[in-house]
Amino acid sequence: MTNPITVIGDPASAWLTACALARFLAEPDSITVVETAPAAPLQWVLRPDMEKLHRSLGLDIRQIPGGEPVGVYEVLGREIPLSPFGAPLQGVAFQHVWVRAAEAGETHSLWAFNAKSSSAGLCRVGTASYASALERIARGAGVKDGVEVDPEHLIINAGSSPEADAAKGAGIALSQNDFSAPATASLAAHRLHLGLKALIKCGLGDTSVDPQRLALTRRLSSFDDHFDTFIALLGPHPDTSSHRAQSWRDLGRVIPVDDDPFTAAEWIAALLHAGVTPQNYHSLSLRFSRDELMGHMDACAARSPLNV
Amino acid sequence: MVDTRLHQNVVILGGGTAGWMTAAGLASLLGSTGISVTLVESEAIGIVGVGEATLPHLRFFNQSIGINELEFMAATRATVKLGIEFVDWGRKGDSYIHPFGDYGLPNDGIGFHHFWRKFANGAGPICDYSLPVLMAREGKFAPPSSDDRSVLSTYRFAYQMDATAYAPFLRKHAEQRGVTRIEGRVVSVQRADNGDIASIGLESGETVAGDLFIDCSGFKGLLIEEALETGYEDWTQWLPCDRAVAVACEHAGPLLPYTRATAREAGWQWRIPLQHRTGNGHVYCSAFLDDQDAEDRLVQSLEGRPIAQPRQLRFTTGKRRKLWNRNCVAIGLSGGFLEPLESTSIYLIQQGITYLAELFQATGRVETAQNEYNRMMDLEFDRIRDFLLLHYVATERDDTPFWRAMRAATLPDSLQEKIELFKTSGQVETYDHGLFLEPSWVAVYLGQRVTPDSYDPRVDQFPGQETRNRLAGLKTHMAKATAGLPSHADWIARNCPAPEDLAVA
Repeated sequence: MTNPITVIGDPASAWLTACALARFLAEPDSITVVETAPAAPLQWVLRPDMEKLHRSLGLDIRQIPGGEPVGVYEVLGREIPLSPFGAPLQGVAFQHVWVRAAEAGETHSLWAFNAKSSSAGLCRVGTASYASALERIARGAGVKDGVEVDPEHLIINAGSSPEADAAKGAGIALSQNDFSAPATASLAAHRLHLGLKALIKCGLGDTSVDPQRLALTRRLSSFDDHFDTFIALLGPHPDTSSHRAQSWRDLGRVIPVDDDPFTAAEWIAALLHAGVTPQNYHSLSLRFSRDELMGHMDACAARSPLNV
Repeated sequence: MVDTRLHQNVVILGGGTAGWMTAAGLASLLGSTGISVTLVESEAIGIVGVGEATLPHLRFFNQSIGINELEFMAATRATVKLGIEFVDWGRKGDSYIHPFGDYGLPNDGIGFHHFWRKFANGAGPICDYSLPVLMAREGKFAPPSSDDRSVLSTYRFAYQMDATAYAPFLRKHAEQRGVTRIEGRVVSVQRADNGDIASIGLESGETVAGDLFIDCSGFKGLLIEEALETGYEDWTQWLPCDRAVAVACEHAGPLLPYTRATAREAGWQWRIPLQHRTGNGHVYCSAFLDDQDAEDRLVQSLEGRPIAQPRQLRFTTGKRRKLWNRNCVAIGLSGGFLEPLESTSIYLIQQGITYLAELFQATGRVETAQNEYNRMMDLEFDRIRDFLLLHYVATERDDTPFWRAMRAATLPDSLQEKIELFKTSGQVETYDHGLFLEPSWVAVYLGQRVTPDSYDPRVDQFPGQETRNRLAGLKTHMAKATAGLPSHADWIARNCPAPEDLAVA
């Protein structure tokens, strides 16, 4: 018998969280969902790595009305693709080849070599339809809804909204990032999914200071930091002096870090939006002749016909 | 196009394992860029020959530079290593193997030990579900299967080798790829106006200039410390062992495919079986045991007749404050030292070479590459340190002053939290970068009696009797698979025996 849980958040966040809890961690009838109203009709972008969770919940996102595959998602009006920039040449990462080719006369920007392919697996859905589909699953399993937060319950704050903020500190807040505005809403599902995976792995824990809860908090906080860094790069005043930006500019390197929520292509896109382009290249690029470089550029550009 | 590269001439100082691995690695990985690699060494200076026991990663390094595995094994009189047996660590009389491989089979991202904790606890140790442990105990070996569905794909292997033979083997390989070797002892280091190293002067009067210097000069750190005064982070407050004595002996008994680390009164003792001899050593803390005592205890415990005089080593556990400082990169013992309890010395050399090759820019600001290199290497050192320390603190031993002191030691927060998390939930705090994945932590926790109070709740969704039956079936299947393998000694004799002249050397 699990202790009663109240999940609070905007409908999509709250029902997805309730579904995951009911599936993996708690008795469904011990879970109550308290919805907060979404600030505006939002669109979320579901990533391909959410497919496993959806499948385990019995949700086929192709059946969600209005859902559509997309090649990019937008944050603060900036396009972020999942598909890679160009292709490596004999094991050398594309950006190094591109900088070297630029010395030899290549004029296209790196963006010209991203196909922004919808086959990368991104799917845009309206939060209302997504929440409805999840609510049906959760209710079918025995999850209830409520209108007030019971302070005796373990409170899980699934989303960011003023009402949900009020519950922070009394339980588990899956994210400190705010995705309630349309400009950042496309990151909401990704952040929530990461939070849920961490919650499922770490477990609920008994108190706010037990080792499981501390491990969960650390992991969530690490995600929050990465999201903050990512969003800041897309904002009006990006920090281009950070080690991440310097490594990209000076080394053409997307630095490897623990708990990284984003792919190399996403970081590259964010850094390019921040105005940071690689200036230097790896020594291995020196071995390519001008013909090899230009031939490779042409081949990569041909795979991204819409951009060139 | 104009060649504006940052580093055209690389000079490596020191010709031990680190030096020749670096030379062979850079020449193979970056040779096509036209860099020049020069190695300076003096035959008059002995090598420490770190790391007779290795980790599976070395296989990939050797492959990446084009080394034939069986030729390498024959030349270094290598045997196979499937893991490390830890004796007397949790309690006196205990024994477990930290295997190079997984427990059980993959299951939806849930660690096997959670299933074992719920369904099989009491029905035998978790080692019964580890193929490399079963193989090691039975003295069996065959290379892993490439079929992911096969239980014979669930392990990896490393080597137990004569490290003093590895450097000469690599030297041939490196020289074939254009590395220039200069014999000579360094007597001076010349600095450029900006403080970088400009050249090194040899006893012969010759000067060797370079753009980038790799310090593989061993503990002294002739360039990174004596010339550049980089500084050293001393970690003896966590890992206080500071001496080792080593001696080889004749074989006694079968050729075992694993290393043994036996906890002793003030440290621990290694045993590493090679084709032609057994390497032995005693790592200890000089605050609790004097050198002669340590040597006597080692010699008295040998399984065979000693074939050399014991050799003493002194070290300070820790690392340089910057492993890449100015135009000098410290690789090997010059960069830092962590006791060889988990055979990490050669791994750290390998990672140093790998990161250096990754960051080998043709153009740009060197400072950014330095920062990134140091960040990645610091991570490697920190994570290995925590894992080594776990062996000393996850213990019930309090029978000597040394063990009582270790039990009372203050742990880094990062490790304390990891241990508490495992105790309460069976969860292993994992990371994406650095050595030692979940099965390694599980091996040491469970092997040293850190038992979890709980398990992953997702395991409750698996049907009880069916899962128990599956585990029992898996155990039987692994035992049968092990029984069907050739003996390790036979596999060595058939595939990579040391040439006669080496075997008797």
